[in-house]
Amino acid sequence: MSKVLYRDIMPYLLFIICFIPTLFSYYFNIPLLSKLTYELRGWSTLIGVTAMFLGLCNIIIYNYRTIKERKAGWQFGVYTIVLVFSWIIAGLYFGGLASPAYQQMYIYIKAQCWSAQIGLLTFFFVSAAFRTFRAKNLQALVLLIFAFIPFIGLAPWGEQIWPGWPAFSSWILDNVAMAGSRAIVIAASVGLVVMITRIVLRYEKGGLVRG
Amino acid sequence: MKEEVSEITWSKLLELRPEWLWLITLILIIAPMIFPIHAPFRINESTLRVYEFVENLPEGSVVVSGGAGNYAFMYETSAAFIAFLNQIKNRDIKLIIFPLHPDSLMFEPWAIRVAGFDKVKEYGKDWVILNYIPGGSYITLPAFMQDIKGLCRTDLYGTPLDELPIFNNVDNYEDIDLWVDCGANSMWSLVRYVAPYHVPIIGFVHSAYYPMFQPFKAAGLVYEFTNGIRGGAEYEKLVGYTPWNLGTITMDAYNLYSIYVLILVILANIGTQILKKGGCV
Amino acid sequence: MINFWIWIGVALTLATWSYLWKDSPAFRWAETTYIAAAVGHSFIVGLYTLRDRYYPIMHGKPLLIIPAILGYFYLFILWRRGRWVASYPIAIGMGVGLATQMSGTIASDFIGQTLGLISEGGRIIGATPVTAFTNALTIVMTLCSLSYFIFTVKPRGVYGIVYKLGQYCLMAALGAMAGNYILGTGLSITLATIRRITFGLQGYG
Repeated sequence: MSKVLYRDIMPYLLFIICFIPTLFSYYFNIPLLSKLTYELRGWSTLIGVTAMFLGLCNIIIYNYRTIKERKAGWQFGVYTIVLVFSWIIAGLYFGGLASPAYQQMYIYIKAQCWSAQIGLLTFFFVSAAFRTFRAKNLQALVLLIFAFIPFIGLAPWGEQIWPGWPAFSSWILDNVAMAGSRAIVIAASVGLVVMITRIVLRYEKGGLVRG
Repeated sequence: MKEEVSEITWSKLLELRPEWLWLITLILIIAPMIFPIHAPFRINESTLRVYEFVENLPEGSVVVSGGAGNYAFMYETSAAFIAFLNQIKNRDIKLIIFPLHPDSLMFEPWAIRVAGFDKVKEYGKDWVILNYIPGGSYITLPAFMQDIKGLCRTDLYGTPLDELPIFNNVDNYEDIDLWVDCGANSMWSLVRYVAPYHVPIIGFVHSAYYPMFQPFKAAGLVYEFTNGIRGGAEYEKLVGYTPWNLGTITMDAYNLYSIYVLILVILANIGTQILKKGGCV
Repeated sequence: MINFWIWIGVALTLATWSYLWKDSPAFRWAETTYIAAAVGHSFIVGLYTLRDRYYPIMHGKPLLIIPAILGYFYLFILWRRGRWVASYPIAIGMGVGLATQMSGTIASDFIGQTLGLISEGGRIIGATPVTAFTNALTIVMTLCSLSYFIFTVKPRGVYGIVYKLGQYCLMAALGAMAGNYILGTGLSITLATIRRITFGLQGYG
């Protein structure tokens, strides 16, 4: 019983103690509630600081296991751990976040890697468009037509062919696409509220970690 | 016989190896950088509205640049953001950078350096960059709007905010005249936690999110936003071209790439219909 | 002299794009470099954040040591038997976060959009024919699209027609997003990858 108390019930009670005042402070102008919410937000930001170090711990544990068990690609595990610590040491040595040297290091390694990886999508889009953008039924045809209207509207040659194309494309985006997006936003908001309610009423097993 | 040859040709075309498509794509992307076409383009009404709103900001206004989510360095939004910095750098407008993601701690100082903003403005008096506050924007943004100095104690360099002249008259949402979003998908947070305080929001958003955020503009929660890198190119044209100039350079590539993709899709659809009629699909 | 970092950037870009040819050790190298850089950067940002967040503890608010210590309980999540200890800091973060998200979502996404829809209806009367038609079309399309998300009523008869129309409206919206994504986001990121290098070689950045 005591295990259930401190592993399950007490965290849930703590969750409720934080949830209800924060929710009520949005709708009721009670100074005590506002002060409590203000303090709880401050607490949350302090708690969140440690989460930034979780990534390092995770990556060390994962790569340590890979190296120890000599799994495929274990050499990259060694490289990862060495590079992480080198990065941290180099970053602090260069003077930290605000230093120009660290910014150069960040831009040409991390940002460059990230944009190169996402940039691969451009090439995959081309082959995907060639293979899958086929109007096999009316719905696919509608999708195709409405995909290419703003597509041509964004490109400068569209307005050379017909000067009204950018305005037409804007009209489609501002009205037709907006209507569908609005429905998605409303439906998603209802879904989110329902999900949060399920978490509060403990119908969802996720969220709080159970030992 | 003729139909058979046609079907074989279309069948071969539709089974073209993707590597050839990728090679042509790479050529079409790089070629305009070496041989620029300088494709002319017009200014969209949305970009013009953003430009005019910023132009009409009174002297002494306080602008918060918050947003720049984890796609900050995707550069689709930086073209417009750098042009925006160029627009305000020679005016008496204060800039507070409030990063909502660790990446934007690097992105926004970089943008400021590229725009030459730090050369004409004094740090601490005209602009400041705050620390990243963990916990999620749903926690930090409401706290920021209610009490800036209560949430952020120091700037990125460790200087307490009380020692920075820019914060002499800036305490909460009442002192903010404009919120600029230069991230990809931080608009969700801004409409929920900044818009209720009636602070005008303008955004330099990714093209992919432009249709998604239209309902927020229609509901009056956001003033206006530019459409990805096309919006960036238009903004650069309005402000006067910047050294970064990614938006303008992209327009040439847009022309070639869009025509290429359109031709591929048309060919694929024609080929499918021909093969369908021939009973091959 | 060309910046040393630019050459690293070139090598990483070529290694990443070598994936288009085949999955190779070069691509794995670029991938692991990115992961290591991201984790390293997160750690350094964490150190800066620590300095900012712990500032009030040293300057007049010593009670904030309690959430600071609670934050370290997060690390217990890595230990299978002690994972439950992490529930305490998660509970606080979740409680505050979910409450704020719920209230913000209801206000802007639900009420805000509904009010926007109603105000568009109000703007039909007395407007120019084009504006009136546009607003009426938007309202009809929004309501039809919303009918698609009602899963408790079978789409039959008149409702079936509304449902079908909603499907096409959603196709139109998703198509517009797809078209914008393909040309806008996709291409510009690739161009930016190349532009960053050329920009650096020109002496900027």
